[in-house]
Amino acid sequence: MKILIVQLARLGDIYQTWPAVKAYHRNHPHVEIHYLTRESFKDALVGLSEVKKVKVLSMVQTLEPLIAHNNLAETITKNKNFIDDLIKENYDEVFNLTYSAASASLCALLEEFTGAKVYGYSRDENYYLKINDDIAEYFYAQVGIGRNNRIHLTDLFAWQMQVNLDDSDFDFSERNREDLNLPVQNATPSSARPIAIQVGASQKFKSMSSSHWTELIRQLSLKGYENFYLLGSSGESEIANTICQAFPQGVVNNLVGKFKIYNHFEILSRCQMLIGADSSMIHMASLLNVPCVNVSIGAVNFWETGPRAKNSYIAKFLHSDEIKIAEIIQLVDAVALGYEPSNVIKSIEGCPSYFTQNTSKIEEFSWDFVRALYMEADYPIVDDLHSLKSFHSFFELNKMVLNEIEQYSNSSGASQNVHLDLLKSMESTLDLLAQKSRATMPLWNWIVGQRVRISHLSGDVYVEKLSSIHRIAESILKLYVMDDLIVESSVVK
Amino acid sequence: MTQKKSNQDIFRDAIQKIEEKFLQSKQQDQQHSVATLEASRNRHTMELQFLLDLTKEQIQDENLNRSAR
Repeated sequence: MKILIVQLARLGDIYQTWPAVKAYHRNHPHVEIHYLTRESFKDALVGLSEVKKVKVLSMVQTLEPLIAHNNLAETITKNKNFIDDLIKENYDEVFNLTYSAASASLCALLEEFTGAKVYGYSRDENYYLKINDDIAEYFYAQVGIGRNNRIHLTDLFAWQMQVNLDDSDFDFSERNREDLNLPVQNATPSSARPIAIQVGASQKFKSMSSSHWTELIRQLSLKGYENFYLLGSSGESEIANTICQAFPQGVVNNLVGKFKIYNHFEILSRCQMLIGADSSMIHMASLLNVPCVNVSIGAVNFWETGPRAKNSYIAKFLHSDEIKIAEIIQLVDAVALGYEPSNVIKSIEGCPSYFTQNTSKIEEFSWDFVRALYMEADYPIVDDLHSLKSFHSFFELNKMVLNEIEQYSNSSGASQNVHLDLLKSMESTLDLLAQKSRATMPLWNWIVGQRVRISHLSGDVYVEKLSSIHRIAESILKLYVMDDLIVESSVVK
Repeated sequence: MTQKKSNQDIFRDAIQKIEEKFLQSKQQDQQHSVATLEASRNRHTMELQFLLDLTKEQIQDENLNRSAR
């Protein structure tokens, strides 16, 4: 048996699939595992010995004829050759861990022309997105920035591959590491285990500025910390150089741009901790059980992409203007000295989520609602008027949607189109309502996910399924708008 | 004065060319489907859709100032 894992996203996403690949291999030791990644990120698979063959997608090679020579035919041929190579492998199963439009199109090709069973996104015969299973539906509906999911991507990837993780799947410690040819044996200038600092991230807003880093290192030095390793890619050399200029020689070791990404396993394994933004090295540290202080800035969902190593902490700031160096230092102390400060966001060993008391009531409610929808938890109690009013509006609109679906079923021709248009406008209103109210967002997203799941159907079967989805929503909404609890809008004002 | 095209412009042009080809191929499939009553999806069109999606993702990355090539 042979499988293909498709991960066309970035370095950090690839490292977050490592435990899933290891767990899959542990459960299916005789299955040949191939892994498809982009040319730029293939180094993130070095060391993952469970993968027998790495398949590479090169956008530069494919698009070069079109972009440089206006030769679309050649680009199409190169694209075809790439797909031919994958089809020839005749995979039995394909695990699409990318959740993107392009990966869905590629998997549709493999599904159609090799008969492979695809897990995750694909496309139906009308080229619409096809969601093949419950995990992919959950991902589509609830995962991402601004959503309410609190299950880590690492676990979602594993569940997408139909496996559960155990501690050994995160163990990339020395005995499990290949010799990655790292020439840094003499890079440690003093006896203290270094503190690694990843200075950049894939997007500028995610990371601290050079002045923030300089101030952090300065204050840590004053507290007696020494031996800092600056890590990052060559594109981050400028920020690293600026930081280094602020300190006497020997305080900061600038290793930025000097090593391949996989060499950082060896560097990180020698460090007492890593401080960094939501980026690749946080996920490498998770595989080494090196604790992290994750400085999480802006629109980043730490629940999904935070550090997994024991005793890791997250310093969450909504904007770079709000960064508090003292807060980061408190967490560095907590890691170094092994105590647990109050009011922190902390990783829990072996758990796909985090401990925190720093979230709002509405955030807690929304997550509990997601758990009720997908994980058989009880539906949470709502206790604020704004949310109650939103549920009430949602209930009324949903009733109208059900009515229109019925009218649509009982009509024909032009009249049917009128009902269809009305249905569409009601759904747009529901979408707007969900965007404005965090409380109702999980239920609306659930409806959207369910609808995509049935989008390949047509005619009466589709209408019946759509009606069934909205009837389930109605039964849930009734929990929040029982007659004696309906809040008059005048009271809410 | 001739200005050098930005990366975004280059990818936008590429997307437009691939999209034209994709829609053309899709239309041919539909015509074939109507004529023969067979399923409308064929490999060439699916390959073009993949190429189109990839190029669109590329321009998103360019907009975010990230390289995913």
